[in-house]
Amino acid sequence: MKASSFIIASKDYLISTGINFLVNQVKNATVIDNIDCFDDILHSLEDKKPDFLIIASNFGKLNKDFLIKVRAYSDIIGLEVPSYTLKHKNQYKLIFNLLDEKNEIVEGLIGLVDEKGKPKNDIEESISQREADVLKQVALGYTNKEIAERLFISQHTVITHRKNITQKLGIKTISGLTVYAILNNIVSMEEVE
Amino acid sequence: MIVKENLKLADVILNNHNLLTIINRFGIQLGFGDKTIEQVCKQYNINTNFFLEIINSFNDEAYSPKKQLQAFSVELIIDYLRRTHNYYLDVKIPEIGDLIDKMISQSDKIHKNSLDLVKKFFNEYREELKNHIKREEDVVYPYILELEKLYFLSSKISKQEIQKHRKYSIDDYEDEHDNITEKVFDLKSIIIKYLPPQDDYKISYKILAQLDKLEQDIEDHSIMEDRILIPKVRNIEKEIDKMIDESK
Repeated sequence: MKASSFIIASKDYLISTGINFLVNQVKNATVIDNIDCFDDILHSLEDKKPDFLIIASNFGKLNKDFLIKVRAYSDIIGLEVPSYTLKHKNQYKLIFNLLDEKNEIVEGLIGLVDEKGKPKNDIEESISQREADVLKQVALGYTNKEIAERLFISQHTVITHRKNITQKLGIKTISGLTVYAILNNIVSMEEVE
Repeated sequence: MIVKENLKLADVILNNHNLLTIINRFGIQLGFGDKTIEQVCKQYNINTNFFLEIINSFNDEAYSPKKQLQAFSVELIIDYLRRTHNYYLDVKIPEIGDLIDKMISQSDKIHKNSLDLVKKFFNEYREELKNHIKREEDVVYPYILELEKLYFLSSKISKQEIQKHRKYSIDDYEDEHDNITEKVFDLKSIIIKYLPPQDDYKISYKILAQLDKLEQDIEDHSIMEDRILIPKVRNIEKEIDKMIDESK
């Protein structure tokens, strides 16, 4: 199952350390960033593209505009801190309270992570024949547009294939994909050069 | 552990030997006896507070030096970033390159092609990193240093002069500041998953450990650029733009 990534946003050290601890109790969940300055939030979301942002209700102005902007990047989990009530509750995927018990919070997180990580269609771990065709073109140095023309598919389809390839192989760069393609005889060294 | 200036540097390093790479960046040689951090910094003419912030942020992941670091001058921060660049190019990259060469020389002939491919991939990464660093050192850092100088001298310099330097902006740099650790990640994936097993597994482990350290280090380096240097420069740019506006 694909792991879910979390960014934790709170200005209070004890709160963010506590949430870090709880997220780490959940299988397939990992914290990729901690933010203690409100202005860094959107930048970090854009950069890291997490599955979830956990944000403390006392962190800053959590108005509707801001929440909608955040939701363009990730789901939001709200942490209500006493005397800072969350507004616009329908923007949050889940809300828990600072005084909730450990298991309540962890169970909630497990639910979200399981839902997120469920395979959309049967995930094969190795790449399909069609994906191998696309990978070969990538290794040969063609752009998405050229690949679409050569394989008689839409550019959109090419992009989808490339996303799936990267996710399955854990390789992001074109030169990394080329190495994989040569190692697995999808393309030969001579063709690439 | 929070490191303070009255601790013995040797005790700090004995407690966490990963900090060796940091003192190396500040030019501190081994053999400092029982001197405290303050004494060693004085000897090497290092800003003690800055040194402590850097050491602490490496020593403890949860230590967040952001506010403190923002108080230091741009010049000091850039000097440190330059030193980390040198550390990557002069120490880390050659170290990993040597290990890969060693892996190739020890491997079976049938695997040679695969391993040559890894070497080629690594060389490509080295060039990419070199170009990235060169761009920062030749264009971006000089721009920032010039900007800070202008800012402090602003009353003595003509407005045209200032305006001339505002053609480039730190936002341009942020746009072109691409992700420089992706290839390191890919190389780890390839070695873990797709390379044929080597007779001497230890060398693959060593390479992976070094790649991991490099990746982590570059990420810390980027955080320092993105979250400390860039916001500082952006503030200076704003102040300068305000001065230009007011003089109109």
